[in-house]
Amino acid sequence: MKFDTVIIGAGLAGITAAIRLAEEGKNVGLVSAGRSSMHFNSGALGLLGFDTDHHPVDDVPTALVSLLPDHPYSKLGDAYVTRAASDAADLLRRAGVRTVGSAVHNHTRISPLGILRPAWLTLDNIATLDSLKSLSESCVAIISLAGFLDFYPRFIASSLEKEGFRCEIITIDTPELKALRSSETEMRAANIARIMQGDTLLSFARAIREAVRTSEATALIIPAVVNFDGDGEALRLRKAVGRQLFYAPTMGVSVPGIAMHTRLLRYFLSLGGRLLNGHRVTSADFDGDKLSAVYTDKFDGDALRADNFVFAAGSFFGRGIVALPDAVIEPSLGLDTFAPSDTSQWHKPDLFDRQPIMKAGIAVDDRFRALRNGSPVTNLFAAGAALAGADSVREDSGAGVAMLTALYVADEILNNN
Amino acid sequence: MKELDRHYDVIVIGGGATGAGTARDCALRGLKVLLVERFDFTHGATGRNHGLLHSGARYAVTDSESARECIEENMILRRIAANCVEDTGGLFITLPEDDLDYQNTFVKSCLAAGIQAEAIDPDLARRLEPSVNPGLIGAVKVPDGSIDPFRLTMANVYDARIHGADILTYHEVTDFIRSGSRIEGVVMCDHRNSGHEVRATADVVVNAAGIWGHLLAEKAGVSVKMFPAKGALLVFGHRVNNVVINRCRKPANADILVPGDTVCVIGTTSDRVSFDEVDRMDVSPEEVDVLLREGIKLAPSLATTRILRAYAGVRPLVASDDDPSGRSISRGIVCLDHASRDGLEGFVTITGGKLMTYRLMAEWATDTVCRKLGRESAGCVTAELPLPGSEPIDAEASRSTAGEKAAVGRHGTLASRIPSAYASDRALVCECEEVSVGEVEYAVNNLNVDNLLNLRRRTRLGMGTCQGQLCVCRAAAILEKHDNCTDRHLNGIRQFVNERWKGMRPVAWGDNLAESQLTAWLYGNVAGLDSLDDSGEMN
Repeated sequence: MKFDTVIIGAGLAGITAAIRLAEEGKNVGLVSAGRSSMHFNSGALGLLGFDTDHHPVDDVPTALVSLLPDHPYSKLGDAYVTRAASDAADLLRRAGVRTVGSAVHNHTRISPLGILRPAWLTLDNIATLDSLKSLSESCVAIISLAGFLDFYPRFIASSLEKEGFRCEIITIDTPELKALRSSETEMRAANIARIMQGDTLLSFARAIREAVRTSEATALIIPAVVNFDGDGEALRLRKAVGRQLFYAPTMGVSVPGIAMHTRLLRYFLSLGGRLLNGHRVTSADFDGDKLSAVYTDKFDGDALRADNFVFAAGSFFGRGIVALPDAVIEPSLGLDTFAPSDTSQWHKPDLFDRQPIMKAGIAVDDRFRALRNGSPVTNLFAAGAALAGADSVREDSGAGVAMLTALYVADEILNNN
Repeated sequence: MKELDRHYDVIVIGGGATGAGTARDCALRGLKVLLVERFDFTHGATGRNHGLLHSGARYAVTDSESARECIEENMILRRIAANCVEDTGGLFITLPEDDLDYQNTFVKSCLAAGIQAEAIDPDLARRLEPSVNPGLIGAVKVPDGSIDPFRLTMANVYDARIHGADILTYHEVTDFIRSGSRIEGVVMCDHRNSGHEVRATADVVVNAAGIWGHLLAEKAGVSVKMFPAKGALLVFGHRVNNVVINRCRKPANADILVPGDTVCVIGTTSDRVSFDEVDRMDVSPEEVDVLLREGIKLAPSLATTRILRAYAGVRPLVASDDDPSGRSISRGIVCLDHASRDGLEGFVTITGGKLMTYRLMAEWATDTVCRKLGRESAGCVTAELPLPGSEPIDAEASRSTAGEKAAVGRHGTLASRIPSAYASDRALVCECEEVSVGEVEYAVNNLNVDNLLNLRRRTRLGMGTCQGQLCVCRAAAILEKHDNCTDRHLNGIRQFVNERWKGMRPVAWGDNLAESQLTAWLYGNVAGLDSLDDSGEMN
């Protein structure tokens, strides 16, 4: 199979590059192994949430200056980062993912455990501290679902009360939820979202209206357990309930996260892109300083050929890179990697401390071309969490690094041809 | 300062199997008992070993007395702790590099100690346990099994309480109350109440604190020479073997592979460590190497099995009183009445021994206490009386869901007390280990559960292959409803995850590192827990 560009990895970085190239009319093949952290995303994206001392970032451009030279943002340049961050928000909008937020000032999201965190973009119907503070009254009702264990109204209330809100927790039950509960593992966000349609959704809306009839609350917060895709049920429920209604993220597999992923993939397909789902790249052919073809575990020797390739297979979790006891490798193409040389310093006793191994990734030149045996592969670009130099978990820069490096390499590919 | 308003016949220090067993035995003999543990039950060596129900065969050649104790207690535990024991059987295998002559000596010594050891054809061994190293040249069948030390200890605690014992966890004995040459009680620090001082008095105090008993004895002004011996172990992500596999040679590093629940455990190493280290047992890369290398010789498929975590415990080895140099070390039981030994009244130390002999240790300690109190008429019944949960079972029939069946496995007949009338009780909190909301509630109300680590030790919540990826927040919310301590339980999630990381860190490569990265992202970043200040270890 022959493409203009083959992209390895369909997480946020891979899809962003794929969309950007497909929007310019390129014939793009997107290879997905099917494992994306977007499925756990709580509906908010980070550009740079914490500086190198782990202080929350308010003004992003100021914090960018203090990043180390090996950070992908430093390679992109501060001006590019700020400009491309608004391009990224535009790209999401074109794909039908509506967000609020700015690339200059972080806003404050509410985590599934109620903890307040800086954020770059949040889906527009998800509650943020900023959206709640803009309300005229500071009385909030948090709606929980009977028997649903992945939503934490008491933790959220405790946090909002510290911010001066009065919170009331109301538990809702409906016959449909009761039926779902009869199996001991069915009350999970994605399963609830599956039944929250049509009459079930209306019955849910009625139950909420009934429960809040005597409540003083002007705003309602309900768990994100309704279909978030486009103008789907999330919007319909907002209308049916009548009051100001916001969603809050749940723990675990996330309905808004899956919706965001689905939406982006669907947009890519609508642009004529080709998705190779459930494929893992296993080997490659090189021709001099170029990558000519990659092979996957599905196609029995049928090569995927392209003029350009993007490596966006993720970090350890995405299996883009793999740690051995004493080295970090890129297992499919044999690309060069960077990892701290002293293995005894890879980990810290506190998992939430800075873990030096998390900066590991594949090595690139200043144009984000992947290195192999010390030299750039001239038509292979790397983007996203696979890149070395960012500790995106701790910085909360994962979404930003993914989208911005993806836009950069897409532009490199477009400008070169 | 707070004085407990009750005077006790006996205070038992130490919430491991020995302390819990001693508290139970004392309570069954009608004594007024206080059991004191500085952190949580099973926090020390009891919770950090193979979980092997020794047949005693391992000691048959080198220490026939230990071997005999082991096989006798093995048979007793099968009766009284049926719910904690799995009869897997065991093999002692000889590999080409080992001396096959040793096998004959081994079998003879086993039989002399009363252990039914039977040499079998290597072919039969391969059929009995398909994961065993196919290159074996000799095999001996022995009555090994596996035992769950958490369940075992909690069943003892539970029964002690039913028989009137008072129980204090997170109370650390910092000093003794004394009058002349008599110990009259203990001074404790309440870790749950900003280190508040609590005092309790008793006629006799029993030191059953494992390796920490060395330090307690010093505080009491007597000397019991103990040597901390560190043993490291690795847990593998699934149950590779169904029969315990031992190496038929003189006891050495990493020569026992024990299946337990859904996993298997290889161990141990054995190294003297200093007393400064006993509270922070980290597993080194060298220990991981030797455990893996030797483990693969027992069962080659371990080479490709995911290592779930690494941990280490400290055995209290005791030097004989007649050998102050400490060279003559026994794994046997040491029960000291410090009145006759050191002229200190009211103080008894029970130490040495093994998890396997905890009941016998408890019996000896309780005999000593009763003798001192002049209550010798009350005989020991623990060799006959089943532990709660291990009575003959027919509860299985009435329980239908996966969570209910798993709960019967964990709590035996006590599972009937777990709320399950409503769908909301039966909802699963931990899917890997099938722990329901009802079981969490039961543990909180009945098993001294105050934080997530307590809950893990009582129910196995978060111990499965996902290592607590999703269940921890669910459980924290249930705990929070009981005491409204929101911040404490949020921090508890962070600490629980870090406790898992402690075990994964020595083996943090491959899938483990990938999962740890997801965990750090999910809990630290998405849930936001890395914004919280870590308020120290929860233990």
